[in-house]
Amino acid sequence: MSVHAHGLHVRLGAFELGPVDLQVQASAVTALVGPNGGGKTTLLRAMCGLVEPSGGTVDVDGQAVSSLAAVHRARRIAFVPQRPAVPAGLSAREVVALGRLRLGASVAAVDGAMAAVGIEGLASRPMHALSAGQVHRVAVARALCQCVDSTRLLALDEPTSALDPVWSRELARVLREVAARGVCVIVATHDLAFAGACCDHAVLLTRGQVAAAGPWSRTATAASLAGLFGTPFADAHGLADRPIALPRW
Amino acid sequence: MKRRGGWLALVALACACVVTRLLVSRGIDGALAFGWNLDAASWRVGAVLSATAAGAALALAGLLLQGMLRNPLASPFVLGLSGGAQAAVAIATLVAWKAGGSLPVGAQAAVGAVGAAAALGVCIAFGRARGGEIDPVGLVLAGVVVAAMAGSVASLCEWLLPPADRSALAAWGFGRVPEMPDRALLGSVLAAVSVTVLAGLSVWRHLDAMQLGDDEARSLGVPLVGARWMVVLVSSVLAAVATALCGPLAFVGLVGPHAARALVGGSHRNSVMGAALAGAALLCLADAARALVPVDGGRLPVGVICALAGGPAFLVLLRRGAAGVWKP
Repeated sequence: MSVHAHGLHVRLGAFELGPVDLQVQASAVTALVGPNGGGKTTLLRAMCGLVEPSGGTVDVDGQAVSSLAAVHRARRIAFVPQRPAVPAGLSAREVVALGRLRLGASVAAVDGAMAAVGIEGLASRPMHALSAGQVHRVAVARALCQCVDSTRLLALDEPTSALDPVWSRELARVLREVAARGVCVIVATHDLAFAGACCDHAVLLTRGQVAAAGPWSRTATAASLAGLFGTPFADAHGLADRPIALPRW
Repeated sequence: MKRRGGWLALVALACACVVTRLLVSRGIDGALAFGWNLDAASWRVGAVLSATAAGAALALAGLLLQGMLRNPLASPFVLGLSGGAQAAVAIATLVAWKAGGSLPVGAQAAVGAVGAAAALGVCIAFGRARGGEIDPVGLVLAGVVVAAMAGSVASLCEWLLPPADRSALAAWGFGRVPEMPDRALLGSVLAAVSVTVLAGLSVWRHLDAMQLGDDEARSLGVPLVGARWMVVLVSSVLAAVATALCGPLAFVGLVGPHAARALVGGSHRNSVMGAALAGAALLCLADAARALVPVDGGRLPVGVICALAGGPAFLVLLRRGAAGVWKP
């Protein structure tokens, strides 16, 4: 149960991603890390079948994502975008319930997803009345609501960009729980403290190419991140149960 | 509880608007008449049926366009669909006259649908930002240009027609609610509205999901390409049949969906039926107001009333949109 990219190549205007060969492990959280414009979002969207590759394939359980019908893709892949939309007049609960669009309504699943990210109290609030962080938590709850037994991949694009430290930590806990159910969880992020505390694997991306991939502690070292971003990094101790390389100020 | 109150308010508003239109009329001499009058009953009922059907059709088209394009300013008039339908009917009328005949009333809706779909296609093609994402502001600007060009084409066709045909086309182009509508045309508007409401209520979750944006809608399992084509087709047909019946009417398709969302919520489970009711109520009210205005014996085109009342509403929505009420 893993997700594979084989020779994945995407062309978006002047930007080119790949070719990328990558295996995302099941039951683990993988971080996509790299500078702005490195291709994290494009790779994430391509792995979810949201952008048409110009070459190569992405396989989920041996099936090409591009060949999956919309309903089957929704049962296997859940996605949280970098900037979730704020639909007119919909309440937070109505947006979370859309996670069950192709799975059949489930009040329990909606309640559970909202409780997981602490938005039970926002259920009846219209989306346009929520803060950016709350909108993000609604989007995560919607994706959690979509995660069922057949789900193989949960992809999140910058999920902590609008979250305070408490909810960043809670999100890390939630993602670890989802991964423990056998799901491949993949996160594109600039939040290295979050990634260092939460992720098992790292994929370093720059200029549309994978610079390195492997276990977090061996891949996202101070030296490799310094080379990737072109700025000095140092190991911070005491933030998590392992050192986390952070940029030196 | 709040939503039930909204439904009660909306139904009460719709009933009040219909009753008002039924009780107000102008005589042949232009005298204002209140109250029920059996002699004028068929005319008033005809006007109410026309206004109800066309108002509901325009508001439903606006609701679908606003949801698909994630743009609170989208409507058949703003995006040039009404103008496209008007221009297509004007061109067909001119061609028919040149060929020595006249455009059948029944053909107006079909010709208008082609014009409305073409106008929407041009708006979407030119209203996209780099990367293919729909740019809400660019879309509205493209719509303004398309509507202006379509209006010019319609004016040119009117100019080239003989005076009798020209005045009939011009009167229709101002927007009016017919008191004795063509039955086939009225039936086609009512059928389009009924089918859209039933279809909308069966796929309301998909319509809700389309408001989340392309990536989220796709990841939730919405077949986005097919759903978009369906919305384009349905909204074009709705705008075309409403325009064929009443001429191009501004802002009913813009204000109707917003009124419905404010009263019964933004989910399409409620707003589909709500927008149909609100649009019907708005056009009945506008036609009643037209009869009450003591200008030209109460025979002002209802399109003038719609534009005068709807323009400020558009500006208010523009301000609210700028404040981020509906972020794409």
